[in-house]
Amino acid sequence: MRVNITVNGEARQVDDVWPGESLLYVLRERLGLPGSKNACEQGECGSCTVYMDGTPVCACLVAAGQAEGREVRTVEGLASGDTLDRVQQAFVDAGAVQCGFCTPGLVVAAHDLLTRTPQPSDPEIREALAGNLCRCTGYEKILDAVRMAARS
Amino acid sequence: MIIGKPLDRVDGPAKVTGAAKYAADQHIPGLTHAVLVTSAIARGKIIRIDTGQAARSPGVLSVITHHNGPRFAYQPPKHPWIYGQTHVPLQNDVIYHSGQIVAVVIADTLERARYAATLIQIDYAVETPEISVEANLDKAFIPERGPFNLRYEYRRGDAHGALATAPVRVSGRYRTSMQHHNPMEPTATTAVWDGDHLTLYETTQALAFTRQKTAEMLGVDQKQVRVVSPYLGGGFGAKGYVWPHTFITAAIARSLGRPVKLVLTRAQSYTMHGHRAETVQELSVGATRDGTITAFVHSAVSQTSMLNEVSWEEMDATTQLYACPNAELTRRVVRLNLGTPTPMRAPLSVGGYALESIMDELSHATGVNPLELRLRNYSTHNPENPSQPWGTGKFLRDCYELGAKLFDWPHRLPRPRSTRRDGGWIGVGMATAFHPTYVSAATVSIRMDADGKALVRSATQDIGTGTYTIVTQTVADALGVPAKSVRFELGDTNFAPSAPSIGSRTAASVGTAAHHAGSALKDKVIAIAVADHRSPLYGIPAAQVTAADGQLFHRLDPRRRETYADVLRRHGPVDSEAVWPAAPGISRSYGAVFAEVTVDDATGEVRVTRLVGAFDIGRVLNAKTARSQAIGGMIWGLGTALTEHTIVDEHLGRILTANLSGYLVPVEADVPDVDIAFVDKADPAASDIGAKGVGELASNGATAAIANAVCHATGRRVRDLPITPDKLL
Amino acid sequence: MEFLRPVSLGEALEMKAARPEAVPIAGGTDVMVELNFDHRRPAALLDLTRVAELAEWSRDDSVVTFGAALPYTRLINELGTDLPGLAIASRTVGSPQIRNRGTVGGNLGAASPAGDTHPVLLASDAVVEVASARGTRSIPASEFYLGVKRNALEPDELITSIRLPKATGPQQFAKVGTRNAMVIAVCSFAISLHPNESRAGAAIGSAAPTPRRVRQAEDFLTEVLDWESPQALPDSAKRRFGELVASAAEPIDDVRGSAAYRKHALAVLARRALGWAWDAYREGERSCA
Repeated sequence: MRVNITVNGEARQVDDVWPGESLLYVLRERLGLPGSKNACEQGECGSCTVYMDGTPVCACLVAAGQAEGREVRTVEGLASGDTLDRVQQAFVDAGAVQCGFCTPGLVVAAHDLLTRTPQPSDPEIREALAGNLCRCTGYEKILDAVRMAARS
Repeated sequence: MIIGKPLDRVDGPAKVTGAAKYAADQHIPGLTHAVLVTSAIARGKIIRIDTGQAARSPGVLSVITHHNGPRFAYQPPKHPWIYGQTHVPLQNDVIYHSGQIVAVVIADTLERARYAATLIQIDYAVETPEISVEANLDKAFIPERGPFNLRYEYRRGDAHGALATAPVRVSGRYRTSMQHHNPMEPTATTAVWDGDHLTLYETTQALAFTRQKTAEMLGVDQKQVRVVSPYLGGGFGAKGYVWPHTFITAAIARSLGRPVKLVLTRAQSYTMHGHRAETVQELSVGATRDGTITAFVHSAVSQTSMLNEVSWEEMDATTQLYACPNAELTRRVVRLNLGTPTPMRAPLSVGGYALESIMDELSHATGVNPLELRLRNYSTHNPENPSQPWGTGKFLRDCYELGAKLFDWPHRLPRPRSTRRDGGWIGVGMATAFHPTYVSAATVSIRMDADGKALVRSATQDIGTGTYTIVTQTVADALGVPAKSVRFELGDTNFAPSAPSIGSRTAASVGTAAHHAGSALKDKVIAIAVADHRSPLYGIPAAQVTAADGQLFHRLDPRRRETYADVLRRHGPVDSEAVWPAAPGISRSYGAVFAEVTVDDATGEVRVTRLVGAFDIGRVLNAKTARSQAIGGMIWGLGTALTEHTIVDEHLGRILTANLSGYLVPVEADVPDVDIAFVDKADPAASDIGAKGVGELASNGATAAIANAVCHATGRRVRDLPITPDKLL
Repeated sequence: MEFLRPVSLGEALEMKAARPEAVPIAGGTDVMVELNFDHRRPAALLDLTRVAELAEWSRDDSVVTFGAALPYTRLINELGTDLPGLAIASRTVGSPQIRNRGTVGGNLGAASPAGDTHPVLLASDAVVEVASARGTRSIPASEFYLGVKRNALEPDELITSIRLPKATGPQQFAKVGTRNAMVIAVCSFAISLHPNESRAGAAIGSAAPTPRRVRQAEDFLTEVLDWESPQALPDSAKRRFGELVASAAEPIDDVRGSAAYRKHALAVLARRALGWAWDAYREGERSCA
């Protein structure tokens, strides 16, 4: 089937989509956007977190057809040109990046948190990022990064 | 000096923007997709496998079973070293464990391959699998040491005699769980053949291993195999050795004449590349009434597979950490119908948990403060070789001191089950961390171009630890140039051969080689400059010239100077290469970990509220990446202590927790306040740059510290990991 | 596989009537996992995310009705005051990303004994509204769960909305898990006080083949609670309540916990939740007086 999605501000048309496949698969394999990661396929790890119509979702749990006509924003769409978004910059500055595989999902989840709650408390940060697993495991530095981004 | 500074990760921007390409992110034209079909039974034979419907399914290019499976040029030996396991699937009808590869479907899209895989019909002759370590203890045996020289037996003095006569004796039977590495990045292989040359985009902690063993299995020369892995989404041991899915994918791609991509599902990752073995350990300690240890007797049994006999969980802490004249260590294995175990971040943490628990029990028995007890038994010399002083290889006293101060460790510990806060029992515990770290040959090459920029290359890996960054820093320091003038490329066997990222060896090995390569290049450029009459440095003895911030200058007359770029514009690019070390080496890292927990006495739920670690890792190369590794390691210890265990169905032999909702790794909300300190004293005996490993060390100590804190909080000693709520009621 | 995209409830019901084998999908938190793992491959998916009626809610003086496809996050934010027990349970579902998509309708459709909202629906006398091209039915929550992952829906029916009385007294939900977030309940418990009827509803999850009400424990509360002049509950009463709740459970041993632990933990949860709810009620009565 055909699916039309606006991805990172650009209208994209995708053909030959299998109705059972996920938005994550469409992004990674059909649209050349492998930034969102595939790590559990069951919504447990948050590595595939993207915005859909402004709401963070696990792209692995969105059927491709459900994204029809929606606006999707991925980790690739956060920076403006070479200038990193403040959350991305804070992740680099705080040392919140290790192997980097959980990072794209965490960056989107943290970006959303700060959009909704500009000055989150520590418990709010922990709760907001509870669905993003980091096995390295850099949770403490990730917490630092969100605090840092909130200040910037 | 740039070394030691908390330089931001040079790979950070690529990772936060999604630009970093991991193994499964490569775009390859004409790609086909492989899907594995795995055994539903744990022991028996395939008596019929019907692939007809699958083969006729749309888009299917090939269906592989043991009837038509690839035949290989080599049979991995019975000791699993570099090869993850001996068993090569798809060669015959025998099933050794559930989740074993029994068929592979290749199709033009992933969805079609997945669907066809569901159409394969298999009939089995089922036999009763052996699943339990406990039920097979009478069959335990001591394996051969194997090429890695694993130590299964050790004794000094008369441990049993000393134990029998010791005024204080404490014994414990400890159990640790089967665990899985669960790196966030699923294991992936993409095999692309160009004529008789193979390129593998691989999730690997060891490019060289993958190249060597894939070539061996396929019967081609190593030079025909290129392995590419610029970014790795964690490995923790799961991607250390070479497992069948890799060379099977490469063989299928060769016979199919198309590129083939295989990405393991999370569930498949539980049976395709090893796990940490379950152990049952009996440990006894004898001591005088003041807590001076006189004997250790440590006997452990761990699981191994039907075709391999191996236990990676070395327990050298028992015989090497504390001064103790008499010690005996015996490690045995039992064969089970589960896959072959493999090292998982910090193999010594398994025995270390038992040792540091019994130290706590000894502390209770003698009334000596746990910290004081450890100081009382401090070893300044190797207990296995008393003529060998630890020297600069051990600053554990500093760890105890730094950690105790950060944690505010009490001189007088309240009685167990005596402190309450918010309806829960509070307890504190501590433990020593101990782990060997290794070095092995790494080659680093550098080319500096006319613009004064250095391109550094090495066929090593950055598994998330920070190799990109610390090598950049090290080379910048050796050259005397800013870090931004150095670009480091890794993850490609086209570069100079280098060290695997296992055994906490990358930083010390590759870092030192990088230091030498940088120094050599600097010396070359200085030699060129002082011999060139066009240079302001002409005629100065080379030893009087040094470099800083991209400038070469006369030590005594710094006005005589020019830049690297000035020299190279006249002379052309300069290359250097260095190999280090000449021979593999081992050293040891130390630490002290302190924990505070709250236990809900009604539900048995444990929450860790504080964790402090102080570590002796030699010289700290990058304060930021080292800190991240240390904290990460401690959180691993927390997972081992409280949540992580792989549960196997006792009748069917299937793993019941083969996903991230069943196998519980810690989440952000579990993580307490964590504080870290480093001793930061160089150990020149470990590496020329004074660095040792940190990744594995830091995952030691926390498990026992938490378990000890739980005992302090509740008065109950749980000797069976993980400490789930039911065990506390 | 076909992907059906109705834009109205009527259209959705027609499609479901024509294709009863079509699997409804809203948040995808269950269905997509099954598809991703190839546990099932239905002939058709019926996407409910474009049916506006299913994501709306309404309320009058005494009753709240919300669409089956209303995501948890909206339920928490928009209906949390009227349905505090359901909001508490919803907050413990998965992660923010999951709550942004997951729905109570999905919880009901999957009918997993571990679903977080079930005990609250039972304790709060919720009614599940279902519809088909043939008409509509109202099924009390207590008659909805038939077995492990089995519910009272006919093949051509869709869950359209959930109807609950507005809370007239304190409500509590509690669950036990081994980490601080992202936990499938080892066991769970919900209690809703209904002071206007001088009774309380209570139910358990993850402790029997289906979520279930604990009637004996409810009857015990009817006996011991004095709604007119509420007194502090003696520990013995809370303990007895906990025992009755636990005795209604028929848990199994599984990877998340043993049957014995579940029974023990249920008694603890019940005791505590009753204490919190009753204290809140007494507090409320005092401040009103």
